[in-house]
Amino acid sequence: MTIITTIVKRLGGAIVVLLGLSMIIFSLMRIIPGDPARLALGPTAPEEIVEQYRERMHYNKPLPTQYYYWITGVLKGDLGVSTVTRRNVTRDFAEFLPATLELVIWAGIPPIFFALLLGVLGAMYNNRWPDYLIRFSSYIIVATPAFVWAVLFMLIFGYWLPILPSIGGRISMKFSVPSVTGLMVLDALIDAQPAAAWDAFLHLLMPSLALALGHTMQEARLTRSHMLENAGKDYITMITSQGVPRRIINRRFLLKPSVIPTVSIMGLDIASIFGNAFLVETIFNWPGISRYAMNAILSKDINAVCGVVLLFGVIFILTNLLVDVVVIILDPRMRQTRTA
Amino acid sequence: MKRFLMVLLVVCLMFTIVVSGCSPTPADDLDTEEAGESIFRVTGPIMPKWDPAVGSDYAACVVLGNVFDSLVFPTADGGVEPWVAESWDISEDGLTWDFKIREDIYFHSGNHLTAHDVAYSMNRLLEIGEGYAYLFFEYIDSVEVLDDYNVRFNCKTSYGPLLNNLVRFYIVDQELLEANYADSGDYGDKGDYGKGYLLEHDAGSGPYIIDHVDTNISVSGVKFEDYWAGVDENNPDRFVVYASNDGVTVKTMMARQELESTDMWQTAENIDSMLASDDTFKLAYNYTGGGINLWLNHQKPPMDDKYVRECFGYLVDYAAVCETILPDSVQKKSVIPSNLLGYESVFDFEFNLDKAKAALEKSKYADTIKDMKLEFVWNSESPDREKVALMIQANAAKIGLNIEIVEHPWATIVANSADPKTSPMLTLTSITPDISDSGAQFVSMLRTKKVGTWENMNWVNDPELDKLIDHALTVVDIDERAEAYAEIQRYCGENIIFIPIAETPERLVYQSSYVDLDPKIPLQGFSFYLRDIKVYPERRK
Repeated sequence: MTIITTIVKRLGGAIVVLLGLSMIIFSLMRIIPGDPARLALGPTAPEEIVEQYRERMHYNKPLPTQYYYWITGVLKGDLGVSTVTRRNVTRDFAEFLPATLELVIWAGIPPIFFALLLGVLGAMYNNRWPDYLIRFSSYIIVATPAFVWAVLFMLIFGYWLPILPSIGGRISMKFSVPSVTGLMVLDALIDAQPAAAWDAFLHLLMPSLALALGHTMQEARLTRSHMLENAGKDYITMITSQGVPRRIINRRFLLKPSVIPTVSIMGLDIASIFGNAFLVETIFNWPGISRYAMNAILSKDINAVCGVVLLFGVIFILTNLLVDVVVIILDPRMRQTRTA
Repeated sequence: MKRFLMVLLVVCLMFTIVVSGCSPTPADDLDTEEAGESIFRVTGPIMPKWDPAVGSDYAACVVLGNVFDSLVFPTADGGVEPWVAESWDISEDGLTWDFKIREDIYFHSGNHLTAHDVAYSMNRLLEIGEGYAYLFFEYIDSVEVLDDYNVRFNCKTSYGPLLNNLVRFYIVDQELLEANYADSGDYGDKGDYGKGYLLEHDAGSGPYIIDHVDTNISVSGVKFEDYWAGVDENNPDRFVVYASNDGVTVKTMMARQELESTDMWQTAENIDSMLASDDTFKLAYNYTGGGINLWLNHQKPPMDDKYVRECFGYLVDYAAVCETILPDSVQKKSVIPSNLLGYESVFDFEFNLDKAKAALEKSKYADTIKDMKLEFVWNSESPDREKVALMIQANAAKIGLNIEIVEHPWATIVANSADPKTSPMLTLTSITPDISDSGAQFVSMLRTKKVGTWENMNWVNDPELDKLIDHALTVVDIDERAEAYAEIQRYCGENIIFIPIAETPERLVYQSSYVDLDPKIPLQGFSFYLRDIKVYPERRK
C-alpha cells in the first residue's frame, strides 16, 4: 500500500508540474524574438503564404487563445506539426524516442553493475593500487565530456582501428528490420535476424559507451565513499566482532545501504542522458530525440520544442518515481516513515 | 582479487576479438557491394526536403536535381537548354509563354509525363508557396493546358527571368500524388497535397529513384535505367545523402571509403587534414556564387552615410580573407557574384587604412563616430565569420573606430532580421544564388520590403533602386536585361550599398582513385548532379 500511495501522490503532483511546465515553455517560445511563421517557411516565402500559415497555426491570435488551441491538441495526442521534419511531432516522437531510449538503456543499465562493482572494489581495496587506479581513472573520465569520448572513440575504433561502424545511424542499410518495440537489437532478434541484431549492437557500442563512461565512474566513486562511510559504523563493528565472514558483511550488510544514494543519483543520470545526448547523437548520426530537440531549438520549431520539453518532463518525473520506489524497496526506514 | 582481474581481462580481450572479427569492414558497409553496384555517398548538414513545393536549401537541391526533371535545364555558361520543354514561344508583350512538352518522358511510377503534370506542379508550387515558389509567385497568373503536350503560362506582368527561373521548377507526378493525399491537411479537398507522401517517396521522372528513406539519417536512391535522357553505365548505381556532417565523422568515413565526397561545409582545417592524410583524396571546386558580404544596416546611424560605408570597404584585408580564411576564394567586386547574368565589376576596394580614414573624414559623422559603439554580429554557426569580424575590428581600431563583436546563433539573426531596428548594424552573410539570372537576387537583397528577412538586412529602402530593379525584371530580351542589371550594379557601386568581400567556391574532397567528380554547372546542388559523376568500383582499393 505504501508504494502504491506514493505512486498515486507523485502522479497527482506530476500533472500540476507538467501543466506549469507547458505554460512556461509555451510562453517562452512565443516571447523570444522572431516570427515563427516566417522562420517555418523561410526567407523567400511570399508574404501572402506566410500570412495564411500564421492564420492556420493561430499565431495571430492572443497568447492565451494560442495556448488553448495547443493544449487542447496535446490532450488529444496531437502535438502539432514540426517545421523541421514537416510531420506531426507525435509521429516524430514515435520514431526518434526509441532510438534514444535504446541508447539510454545500453548507456544506463549495464554500467550500473560496473559502477557498483568498481565502487565495491575501491572500498574493499581502500588506499591500495586497485583503489588508486579506479579513483585516478574516474577523475579523468568524469572530467571529460561525453562528446569528447565520442570523438575519441570515433578516431580510435572508426579511423585508426576501423572495427566499428562510423556512421549510418542504428543499423546498416543492407538490413531491414520491422519495428515492433522500436529497439533495434531487440526487434532484429524478434525477427530472427541475428546478423542484423549484431550489426545494430555494433552501431550502439560507441555512442552508448561515450554516454555511459562519465556517470558510471561518478556512481562508482559514490558507492565507494558510502561503503567506506558505512564500514565505520557501529553495526558493522558489532557484526564483525561476532565473527561473520567479511564476504557476507560486504554483500549483505554494507552494500545494500551504501547503494541507496547511488541509486538516487543513477535515476537522475539516466534521465539527464536524454538531454545531454545531442552531441553524441550528432557525431554518430544517431536519429534520436536529443538531436531532434536540438535541431528544433536552433530552428525555433515551436511545436517540437514544446513537445520535447513536455516529454523530457514526463521522463524525469517517471524516472524519479521509479527511483523512489526502488529506494523504498531497498530502505526499510523509508517504508516505516511512510507508514507512520 | 587477482583471479577476478584475470577473468575481467580475459572477458574484455574476448569481447574485443569478437567485435573486431565480426564488425563490418568498409566493404561490408557498402551495403550494395554484393550486387556489384557502384555507389556515391555524400554528407549534408540536414535531412533534405525533396518536395519541389517545399525544399530549396542546399541539401534539397542535391536530391531535387537528381530525382525530378525541370522544364528547362541549366547550362555551364549560365544559360538554359530545352529539357522537359523541347521548345517555347514568348508573346511580344512578354505576358504569355507557351511550352511544348517532350512526348517520351515517363515518371518512375510508369505514368506518362504530360502538360497536365506541368500545370499541376506549378499550381501546387504556388498554392503551397514554399521552396522555389518565390521565383514565380508574384509573376505567374495562371497555367493553361492547351493539349496533352502544350502548356501556357500567363504572367501578371512581363517577366524576363522566367525562363532561367524554370530550372528550379520541378515536375511531379500528378496521378501518383493525387492517389496519396492524406485525408486531413491544410489544402481543403486536396488534404495535405501529397506533402506527407513526399517525405518518404519520390514522384519524379529524373535519373534517380528514391528507394530508402531513414528520417534524419539518410536518403538513398538507385539509377533509373529507363531515364529518357539516358544514364551512363559509370554513373553510380546508387546514391546516399547522409544528414550529418560532423568533421571527425566525415574524415573517418572518407578514410574508410564509406564516403565518396565530402559536403561543402567542411572547415579549411579539416579539408587540409584529409588531403594530407591520403594522396588519393583530391579537391573539386564549383564556383556557385557563394561567398561572403559585409552587410550594413542603412537604417542605423552611422551606416546611413555613404562615406562610412565606403570606409568599411577599405578596412577589409581581402588578400587575408581569400588566401587564409576562405582558401581559393576571389575578391568579390559587385553586389552579385560573377557567374550571374549581367555581372559587372563595380567595386574596386583594397585594404588601405589611409583611404579608409579619408572616406571617414568626408562623412557627416567624422567628428562623432569615434565615440560611437558599432555593433558587429556574426553567426555563431560559421566560425570563419568570426575570423573576418575580428580582422575588421582590428583594422577599424587602427583608425579609432570602436567595434563591438557579438555572437548570435543563426536563428536569432533570422529572427532579428524582421525589423530594421533589430537587424544588426554590421554582419557577414552569404547568399548563394538559386539561378543564374540576377533578378531574384536583386529582389531578395535590395528591393524594399515591409517585413525583413536575413537576405535584406541592409534595409536600403531606396525607391530609385526599387524602380531600377522592377524595370529590369520586365525586360525579356536577354542582352537588354543584362544591361539593366549592370545599371543596378553601377547604382549600388556608386552608393556603396554593402561591401562584397569574397566569392567562395564549394570545396569538395573526393575519392579520386575511383570517382570522377568535376562539377560542370555552377549552381547550388549541381556539384552532385549524378549524371556528371562517374564511379569505378573496380578501382577501389
